[in-house]
Amino acid sequence: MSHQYVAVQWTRRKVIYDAILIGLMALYLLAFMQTSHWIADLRGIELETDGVAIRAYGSAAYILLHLTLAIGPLSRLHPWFHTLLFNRRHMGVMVFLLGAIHVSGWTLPSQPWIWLGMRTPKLPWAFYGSVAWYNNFGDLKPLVSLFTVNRHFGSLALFPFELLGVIGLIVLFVMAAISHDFWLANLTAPVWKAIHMSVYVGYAALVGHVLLGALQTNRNPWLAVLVLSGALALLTLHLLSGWREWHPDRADLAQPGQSWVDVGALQDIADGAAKVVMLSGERVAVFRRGSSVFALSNVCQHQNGPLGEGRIVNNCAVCPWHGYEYELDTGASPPPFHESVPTFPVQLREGRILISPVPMAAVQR
Amino acid sequence: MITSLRRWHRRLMTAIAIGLPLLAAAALLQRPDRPVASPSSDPLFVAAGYHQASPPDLQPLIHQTKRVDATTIDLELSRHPGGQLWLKITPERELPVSDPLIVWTPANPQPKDLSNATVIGSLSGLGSRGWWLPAAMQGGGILLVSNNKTHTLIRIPHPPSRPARART
Repeated sequence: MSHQYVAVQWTRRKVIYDAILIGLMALYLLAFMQTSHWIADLRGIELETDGVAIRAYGSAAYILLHLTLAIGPLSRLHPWFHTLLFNRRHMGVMVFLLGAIHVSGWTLPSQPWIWLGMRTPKLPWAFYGSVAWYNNFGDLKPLVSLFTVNRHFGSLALFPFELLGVIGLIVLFVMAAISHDFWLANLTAPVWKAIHMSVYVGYAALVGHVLLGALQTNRNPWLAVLVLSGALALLTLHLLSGWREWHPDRADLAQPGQSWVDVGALQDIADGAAKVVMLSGERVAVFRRGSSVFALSNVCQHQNGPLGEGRIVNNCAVCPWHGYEYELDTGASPPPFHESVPTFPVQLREGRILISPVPMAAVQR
Repeated sequence: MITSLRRWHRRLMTAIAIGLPLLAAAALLQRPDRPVASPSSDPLFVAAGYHQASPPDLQPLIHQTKRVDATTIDLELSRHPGGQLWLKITPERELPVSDPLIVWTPANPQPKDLSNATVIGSLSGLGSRGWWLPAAMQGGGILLVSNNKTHTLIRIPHPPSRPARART
């Protein structure tokens, strides 16, 4: 949480998170390539090192995409996973970078160096990406070849899986490009989240890319089982969490014209925590602090996180996703911050909590 | 505000959950077989040397096996009464190398420079391949080239020269 523009707010926690992420990805890439070398040596066959590197980066991006998309529903299902959620955007950006290297390889363009009268420096672990490698350095430009060679649009098995990969990569690029809080603040959280939902279209395209690409030539049944298990596990998690969200959304407590709505007993809410109820189509977080009750919109202004799943700290409701704070009585963030959420009038009668479904105007600082 | 987003999320995930497994099952079930089951009349396959039945009246010249990358390759070189050479290559399984090409080179033994080589066809995939060698391909060798590695498969004998006329 910040009251002024900072390009990237590095905190110790974020640095540790990113270091673990980069370390695990590097380990995976090395393990993939080393295992491929061992298998090739065991079988006495020649190893196609560029192909191995392309598969290593592609599979790393694919696995990390599954993990990234699993964090959302997991954190809806259990608060343990909130700790993974706060820096999920860095994982998404890394998915795009791994996918881009899978496509472009790890080489420097030759033209600028020719101008300078130098040979192109060779990067360590250099390899050609899939666009150049599978195009086989033919007469056509790689991108022209990519879009024109496979024209089996009428066949499922022979459908140009390359195009599905391009769609997936474009979606990942858009996600990565607008992942920064600058875009979140300027687009507003609902628009930003709506754009980010296209990641599921990108995900479907990438599963199609793998099914119609890698799995068409690699007939190892375990690879097919792994790919299908990953997709099914992710879809199950999303459907489960969606199902859990569906019930509260349907249980709207407010009747038309009702001025005060009984949302339950005070003793049903743990001290320092909240209960989330549905009033007139929006979720309201009802926080308890001792014998006092406060009702705030459940939607955090940062990324629309579930405020009611947070705790009370220093008389503020704290969003469990990124720690944004709102004062319980006004809904405004403590100075010098500017965010605020609507609050609702509350009454306590004989141990029962009554809330007016008409929100009060958010306090602007 | 975000209730509609949640609703869209549910709809989208339900659509993907129904569509993706169907796509996956269909894609796996429709995986095309390699062109080994039956001869194909597709001119592309014929041009690539796939499934060409050996022509009759061939006189066997060389029949040998070679082992390349842990794969046994059966090689037959025959001569037609008309003088043309027929090359038939049958790998026991798909070669575990990228883009294996069969080339002819006039130099013998195996040259480092393939600039004078002529591509005969591809050995990727499974099954026998057969090619008529152009008349110019006399002598030299047939090489298997993949990923900048070359293996000599067979050496082509020069055509039997006519006996020199005795000087008088």
